[in-house]
Amino acid sequence: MSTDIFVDRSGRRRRVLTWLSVTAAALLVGALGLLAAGLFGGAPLPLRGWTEAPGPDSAVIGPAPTPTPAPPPTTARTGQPATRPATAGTRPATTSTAAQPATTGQPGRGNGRSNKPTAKPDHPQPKAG
Amino acid sequence: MPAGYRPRHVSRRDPRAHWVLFALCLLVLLAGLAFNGYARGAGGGSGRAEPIKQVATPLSRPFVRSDPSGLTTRALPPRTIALTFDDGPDPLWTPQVLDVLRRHQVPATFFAVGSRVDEEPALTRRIVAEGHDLGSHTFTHADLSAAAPWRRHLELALTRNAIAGATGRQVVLFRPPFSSRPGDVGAADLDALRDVTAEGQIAVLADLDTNDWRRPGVDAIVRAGIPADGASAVLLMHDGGGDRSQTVAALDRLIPKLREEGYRFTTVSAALGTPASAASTGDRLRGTALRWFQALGAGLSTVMTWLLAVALVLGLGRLVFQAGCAWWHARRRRPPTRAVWAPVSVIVPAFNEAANIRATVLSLIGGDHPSVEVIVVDDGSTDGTADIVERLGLPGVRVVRQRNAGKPAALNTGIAYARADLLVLVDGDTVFQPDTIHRLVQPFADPRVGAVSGNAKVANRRRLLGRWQHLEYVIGFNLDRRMYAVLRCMPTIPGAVGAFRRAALRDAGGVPGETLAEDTDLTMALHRAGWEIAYAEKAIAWTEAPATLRQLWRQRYRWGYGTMQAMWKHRHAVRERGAGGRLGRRALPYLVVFQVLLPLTAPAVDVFAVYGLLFLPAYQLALGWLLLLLLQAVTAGYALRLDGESLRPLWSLPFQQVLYRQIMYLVVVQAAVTAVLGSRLRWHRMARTGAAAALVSGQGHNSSTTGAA
Repeated sequence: MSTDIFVDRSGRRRRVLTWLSVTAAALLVGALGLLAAGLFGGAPLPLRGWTEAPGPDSAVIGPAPTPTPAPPPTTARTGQPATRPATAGTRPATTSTAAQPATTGQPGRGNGRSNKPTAKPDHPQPKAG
Repeated sequence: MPAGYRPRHVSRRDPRAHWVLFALCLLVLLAGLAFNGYARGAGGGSGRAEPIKQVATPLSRPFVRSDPSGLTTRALPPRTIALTFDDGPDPLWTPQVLDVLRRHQVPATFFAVGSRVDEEPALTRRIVAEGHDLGSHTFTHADLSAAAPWRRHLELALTRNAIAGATGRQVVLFRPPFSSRPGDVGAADLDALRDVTAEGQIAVLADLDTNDWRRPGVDAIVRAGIPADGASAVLLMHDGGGDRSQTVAALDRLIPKLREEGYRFTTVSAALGTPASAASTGDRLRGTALRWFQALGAGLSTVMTWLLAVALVLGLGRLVFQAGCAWWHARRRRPPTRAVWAPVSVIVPAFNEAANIRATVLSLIGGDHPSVEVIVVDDGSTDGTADIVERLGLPGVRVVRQRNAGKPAALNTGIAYARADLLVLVDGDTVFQPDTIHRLVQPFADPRVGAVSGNAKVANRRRLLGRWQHLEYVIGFNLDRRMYAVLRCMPTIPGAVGAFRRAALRDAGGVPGETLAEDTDLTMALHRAGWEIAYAEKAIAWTEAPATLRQLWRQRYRWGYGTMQAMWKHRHAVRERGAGGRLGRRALPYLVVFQVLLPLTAPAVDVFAVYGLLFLPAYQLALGWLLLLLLQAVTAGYALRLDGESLRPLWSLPFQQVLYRQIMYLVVVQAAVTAVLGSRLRWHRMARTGAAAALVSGQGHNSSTTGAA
């Protein structure tokens, strides 16, 4: 007497189901892949905006005030904010031409505005609340 | 319920690879539910309830972008109106708004919520196709001023991608949720604005907030939508997030009025001179991917809601029905019958039961019932089980030795040797009370009764695992059994304690050996042979429950798999008449639903509980959980009282939810997978500790058995 109920001696059911399971697993991994692809990665937005020189209907608000104590001088970033404001004042005047020579050492910034990674140091962030 | 026995099988390893698939399923389910929960969290409206923290130099113009020198703001050209609509796209209201705009030939700007773009990609495309401007309103209408920087970035990127996936456009414009006019921008908002514009988005605030989302009435919205002194204005309205019928009606009147006053209409991009640009392929693919995943999550969420509802209704219905049956079973008056004093043969199949066999045999012959013959069938034990019994030298106790052939074969051997017409089948690890045998055979006074189930109780219930099993035996088995008795469809007489008429056993063809749950298989065969099965709840047998998780797993794996085998073997009972039909149409569906289908869906329910911890209000979750637990406790308490047991073990009930419940459903998953794959199995025997023996030694039997295994 053996327990033959459910037992598939040919092993065919097992093969078919193994194949189905592998397919299902691939689909599930694919679904997780969709999520990962959708959530992570993504190029920063190439900055565009109004391109003409600032008119009488525009105004500038300076860099964010830092209500909290100033960032410690030991951070790696400190070099940049010190130099950036000096050049920043002259930039808006030259923004109209897209043919900015690449010799400025900041390629790809045709509109005189920075991409996200370099723009960040302009605004030392107080911790978001 | 076969106890620890080892049927002989050719062995192959239990299937395991399915656990990877199983884990993946649960992971995708959790991720889908979580993402859906996040996306559905989107609200709507503008303005804040609480007062804002003022800034030193408030913004004065609605358009804000980041320049190297700081935030630059701008305003519209003179006598211009930019209609802006937040919180859409909405399948009901956005098309109506678009229709009004088309009738008046007016362009507008729509600040779309990313998660809703994913739900309405076609509508989003229609907005663009009809010449309107599209901007971002975050993915979930999140208050960015209160969000961490990573969340700000995520909300913006997801929305950019969603719109890119739906329309192929790259959005530059952005309106912060809950914002309205530049003057209302507080310190925290300004901080968020710097962050957002640093990512390259142009923030668009509003000059005039119509407050249409508060539904103040069509007239009020029209009045609020006309700027004072002929100034130009970015007008804030809403096409989503609630009933927008007033907005649609007001818009229809507002546009002609503004035209009369000499205004011209523009989109924000046109006013700023920012050209529309195509999104990168990467962004479009990312947006499309997430849209699919969001759709998957929404589908899973719907399925889970239905599943939970069905499971809840079934579970509650079962509890109520069980309790009702138990009440009826306990109350009903049985007609006085002539007591049964006929001789009884007790058959004890034993394979390596040295730890318990002495106590078992002593408990069998020391009872109230006269003329009891005990036959111990030693099924090729290697631990001297038969010798122990023979050394006892008890009259009326016979030992039959056979080569290891499996428990069903051992039972059949014993039945062949037995002299009496009433047969009691007992596991080798079970201890009877003095009155057990007599009480067990009383239902045979009714000649239709072919077999009687006794009441098996857990002897070793000191530790948590034993206590859980004790509760399960009392609630699960005993309530179930009372219900089956009332419905006359008992599917299992436990191997630990059952009595049979010889004629009934003959009709069933002896103890069948084709399944791993020979007790269930035999009981079902008896039904189909036309015999009634009775339940003698006062015939108590003490059994040793598995003491480790591994042993419990093996036992339940065998029960689960064996029950499925027996159900499959007797599936044709569904179409039979009489006792077989009762089994097929009452017990089998019940077993399929509550022993197979619900346990198979239980993992998803647990995943939903985890999701609930993350996304549902805590009080709601706690209330639901407490209510369910209370209901369980009340039922359990009733079952314990019916059985004359102490209510004290009830405290362990909440903890059952954490480990025991998971084992109970995972083992069903394992059994079902094994069945579907058609694998062959290797079975292990439970290691006996002699707990049942120790129990009776405390009851006056002078037993000195010690744990041998």
